[in-house]
Amino acid sequence: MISSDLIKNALSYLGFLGLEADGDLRQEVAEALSVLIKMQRFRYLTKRFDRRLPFLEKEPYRTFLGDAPAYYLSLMTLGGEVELYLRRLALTDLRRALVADACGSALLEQLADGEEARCAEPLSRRFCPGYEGSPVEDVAEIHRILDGGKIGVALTGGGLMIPQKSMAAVLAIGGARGQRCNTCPLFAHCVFRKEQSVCKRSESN
Amino acid sequence: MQALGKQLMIFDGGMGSELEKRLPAVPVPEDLNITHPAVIREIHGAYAAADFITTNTFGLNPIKYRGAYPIEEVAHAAISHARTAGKRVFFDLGPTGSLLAPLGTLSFDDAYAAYRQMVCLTRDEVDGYIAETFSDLYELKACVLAVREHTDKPLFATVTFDESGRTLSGATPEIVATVLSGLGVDALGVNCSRGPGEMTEVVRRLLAVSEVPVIVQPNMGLPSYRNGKTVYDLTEEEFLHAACELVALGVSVIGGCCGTTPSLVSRLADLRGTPVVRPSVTPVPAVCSGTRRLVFDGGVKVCGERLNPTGKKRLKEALMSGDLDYLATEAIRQADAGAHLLDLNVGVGTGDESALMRRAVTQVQEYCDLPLQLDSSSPAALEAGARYYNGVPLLNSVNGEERVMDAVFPIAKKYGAMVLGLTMDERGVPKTARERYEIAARIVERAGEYGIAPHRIVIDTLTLTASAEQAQVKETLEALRLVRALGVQTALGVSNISFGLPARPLLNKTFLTMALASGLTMPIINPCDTAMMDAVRAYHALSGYDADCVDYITAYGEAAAAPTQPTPQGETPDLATCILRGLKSRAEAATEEALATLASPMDAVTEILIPALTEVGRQYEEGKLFLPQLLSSAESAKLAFAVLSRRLPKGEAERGRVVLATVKGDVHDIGKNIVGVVLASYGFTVVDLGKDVPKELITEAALVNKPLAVGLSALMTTTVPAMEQTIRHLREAGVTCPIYVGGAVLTEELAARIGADGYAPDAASFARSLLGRLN
Repeated sequence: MISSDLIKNALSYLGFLGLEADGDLRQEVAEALSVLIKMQRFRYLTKRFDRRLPFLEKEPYRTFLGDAPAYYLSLMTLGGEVELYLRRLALTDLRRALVADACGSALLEQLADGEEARCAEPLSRRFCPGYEGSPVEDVAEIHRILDGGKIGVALTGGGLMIPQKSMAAVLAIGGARGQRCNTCPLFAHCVFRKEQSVCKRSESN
Repeated sequence: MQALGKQLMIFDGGMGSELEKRLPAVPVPEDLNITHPAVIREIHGAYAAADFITTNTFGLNPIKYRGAYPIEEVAHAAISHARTAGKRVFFDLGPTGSLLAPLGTLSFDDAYAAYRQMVCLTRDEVDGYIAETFSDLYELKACVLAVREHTDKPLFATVTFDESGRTLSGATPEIVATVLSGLGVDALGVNCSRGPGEMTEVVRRLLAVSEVPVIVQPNMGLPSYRNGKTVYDLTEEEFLHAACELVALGVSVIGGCCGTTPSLVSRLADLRGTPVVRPSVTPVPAVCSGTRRLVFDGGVKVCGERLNPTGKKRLKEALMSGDLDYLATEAIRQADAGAHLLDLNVGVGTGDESALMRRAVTQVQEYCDLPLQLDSSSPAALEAGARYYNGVPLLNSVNGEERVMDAVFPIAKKYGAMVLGLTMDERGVPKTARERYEIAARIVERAGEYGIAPHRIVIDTLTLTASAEQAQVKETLEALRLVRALGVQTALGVSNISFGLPARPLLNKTFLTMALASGLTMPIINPCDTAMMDAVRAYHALSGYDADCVDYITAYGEAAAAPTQPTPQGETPDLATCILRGLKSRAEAATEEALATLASPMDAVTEILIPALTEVGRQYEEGKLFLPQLLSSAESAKLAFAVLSRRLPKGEAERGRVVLATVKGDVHDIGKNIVGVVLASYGFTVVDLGKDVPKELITEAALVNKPLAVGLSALMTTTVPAMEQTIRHLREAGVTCPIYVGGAVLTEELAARIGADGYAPDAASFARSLLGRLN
């Protein structure tokens, strides 16, 4: 059974924010999720750190981590099968590829949430390199430190992860560190706010 | 080594965990061969109860090693330390740590070169090699070939499986055993992963398929991290108990991996000499890709014929122009239609067939996981395909000519491939079934001299056209019946039967049915021809292969027969509606209907297509339509435009070319693909260069195509510099057309800063801007 939250999140990746998608598209999303759920081989690497690594000494990580006594780095992926499936669809059916791509992102988030919920310590939201102006290049640092190759995640010359449905993140120990909407650098252009909604990062969520 | 496979032999245990007990953690354990030789010798000595000692070189290859010493110095030191234990020394070859394409960036050749370097450095000093802890079978293939091509020393190869029973790259134990047995390793098996108890099922599956001895090196259970140290959850007694069960299953070599100790290995050594009693393995005819294995198990296996340029103009053009996406698309179509394996032939009569075969194999296996039948009259092309194929292929073909068999059988032997044999020789195709049988028998006999058993042979008794040689039809069928007695599989290119006659599908289907009844097991047909696939399913139902007709009923039962998407009664959307609502399936028919009411095809473009697309774009910008709907509308318009362009006078349909590419270093291309579809829907000719495209290629395409514009895409900030370099390269080469950029990280300001002429926030605005330039 696919949760309505998962469908909703997939639709939000497709741009449906606070709007009702028609029944056909909801069905299409549900079918794509069903395929991906069977196909995925979610893998998760994580490691706890007490001391601040050099790349986290800069903003915005410094503010994000605040006075957290420790933190985790994590790296996760839906696996190579999903990657190749998405590539196949991109060649043969672009609409389905687009839907499946959005569903993959939503599924990855959900599986990561589930993994983090099992942690005995209270964790903040995930903060991924690229958020709030942090350099995307820091993905490579997390990949190197956790040895992402162990779970089948490779880096391109440009520092991007393959499979594309992979995610690298920092999580502070000590509970929620949400972004307040009015201090978010994306406030002016936020599509969620325009739809009177909020993103996963917001404390208002 | 005579005991291998007959009596249990013992490998040593974990090196890393023993180092951890003695020394603080170091980033490059291989350097300890130089800095702490006494410690390394002490550990090897502690494992002297084993038959085999593994060098401390797991990470020693030019791709992974980042230590402080010359690689050859470390290798020689490691071997000399291992020698002090007085046992056979096997050089440890571990993974490169980089992932191979397509899921990584390392090339097969680079991986091969790294292992070749290590083998050439060490082959005169060691007793053998153990390639261990591989999680990607393709990388392991590169390693095995590097060893096999540079030494005759024994080679053991092990992989790691996860809890799902697959490697990280998706290979099952059966696939691992099929590929590694075929490549001629001396023992294959599983190491690391988990404890011996959790390995039981994987070991059982390996033993059921492997034609060579099986080696097992489990961890000391599952690891956990306590007080700064990695600890494992099994006691020696628990490990030994589970190990005895593995020995009872029939493993030939046992040792330990992470967390195992000299004490444990000494106790394992008490089992040395235990007779190896394993279930007998009945060799089965099988081919496989990296993730899918096909066993010829008595059912009909459909070989898709569509990847062969003979008589296929579009495919020939694609192969000659390097448009290998087309090849991949055709492969996917055949897979979706139910093919079991695909014939791949790239013979276009010009150019380097071996190089093209290699590229084609690489491309097809990225997108389609069906096993491949490599089809060429050039042994060099067959070898190139077999080498770069991530799996075990079927080679098409040999025939009764000695020179052909001499050229092809060694390739089949080297790569463990199956071989298709044509029942013809230098005298041509014999007229009688008996003569064809005799050629088949000769092929089987000669294959046997190369160690290729009859079950790995597929005999094609050759379909001749009924219009020219009617009497030969029954000879072909009779030959099928005869050759089955040789223990081989059988093949026919079925549709050859109907050349030159009307109602070809009828003849093809009838001949297929006759051939199946005569013993045909691998028809080479177009799987997208539903009548032919229907005949195969019906044959399976009637022959009993489809037990209780389950597959047949699933395919043709009441539920399957019902229309899945009923069309609303009375609704016949016109062309504008088709585009506004993205009704792809009706777009072409609606275009034909529209043409009947308009003065000219161009009216359909200007009065229906463009206004409808403009409306779609407006609704998208207002947030009333979303990307999936925009895409469906664009695809509908693209289909409509294709119909119209065939009716428009030459030149009138051409709005100009647009070269699109995602720049070097960026692998995200869905946005660029959407732009391509939308531009095509407006009638632009899109030259899509794909993703991760070097600036030189983009410039070359721009110079050749003289486009209306170049569109570059980049999703990440890290690849914007590549975009800037590409723009500079285009300008320096004299490309004067406007260059547009787009992608998640781009803004109008950034576009201007990197030298672009235009910024396209989305596909529709890009199309509008191009139309504006035309006007």
